[in-house]
Amino acid sequence: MSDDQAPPDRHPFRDDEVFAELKRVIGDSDPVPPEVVAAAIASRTWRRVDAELAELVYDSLVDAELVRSSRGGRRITFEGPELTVELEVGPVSIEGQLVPPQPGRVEVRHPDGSLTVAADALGHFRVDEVLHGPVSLRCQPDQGEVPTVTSWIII
Amino acid sequence: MLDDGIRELVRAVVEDRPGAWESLVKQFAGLIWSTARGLGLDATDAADVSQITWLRLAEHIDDIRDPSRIGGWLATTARNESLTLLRSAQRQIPVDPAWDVPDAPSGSGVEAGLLASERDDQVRRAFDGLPLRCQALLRVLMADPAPSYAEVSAILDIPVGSIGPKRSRCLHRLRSKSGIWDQPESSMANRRGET
Repeated sequence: MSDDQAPPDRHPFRDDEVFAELKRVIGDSDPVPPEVVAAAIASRTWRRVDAELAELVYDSLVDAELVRSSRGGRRITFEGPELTVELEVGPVSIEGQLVPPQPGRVEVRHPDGSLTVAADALGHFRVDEVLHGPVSLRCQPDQGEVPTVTSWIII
Repeated sequence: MLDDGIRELVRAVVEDRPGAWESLVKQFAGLIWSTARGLGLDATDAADVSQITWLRLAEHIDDIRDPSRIGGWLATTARNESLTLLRSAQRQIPVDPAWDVPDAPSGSGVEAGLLASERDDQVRRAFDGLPLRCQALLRVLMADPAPSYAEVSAILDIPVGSIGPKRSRCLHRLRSKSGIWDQPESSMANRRGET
């Protein structure tokens, strides 16, 4: 008896053949939709240029599932070298706060458009429209030179 | 694609050479899509995950330290975003139609669909009956172009060395539970002819 003889396969189909059929039926019937590829290609235009990045450091959806209160919306904090941006995302509006508190302009950016609101002297701003999908804020303090953009997040 | 090719491609993207970003999308769009779908997201959420993954890359492309591992970076990002979405109760709010993406695309033709459908349905049912971890693994391995084991490891958070054995066990389970692959395809065809 020799060891280098492969044991007879009990199955008439090898793994690779089963996988190939699976791929044909499951994988190939669910290709990446062309709109998704187009959106991926278009994302290049959002490359960060001349702006500080405020990274996501807190998301109540992820970090506080157990203690989330029934009141109030999802709380999100972005932290950058110059600016911290705090958000509370409700069903119909977003309340925002720039820290340190200061006036400025906040551009709410979605992949297919944006709107701009003002932050008051205490750094508070409010967005009366919540579009679900990816969003990023570009914050330009009145006194600052370099704007801060937040990391993209899905709301 | 070999590491050198990926490195060169990422360099081209950083330098903003024409067509480079598009090539990178073509290389990894399938992997990101399969990741989200494999983790159980519907087409709409998978579209959001795909888009945010590329937006994240756009904001981080100048910080990528090891270009050869960009696939793992994209895969990890897509995985984390998928898991966040799965937790999100707020996603029950109907999405804006503008973000909507149609579900699985329709087949090339009704007749061809009918001919192939019997066995395909069996295969689909068998796949749906697998444990979710098996479905996720096999779905990610189906990505086109095929992912590296390092990328699969990043997505599913399992050691590279366990991927082959897990794949084998999942396929074995699929085979033994469904019975679809118990006989060679030719004899199945013959039997079908007799009945």
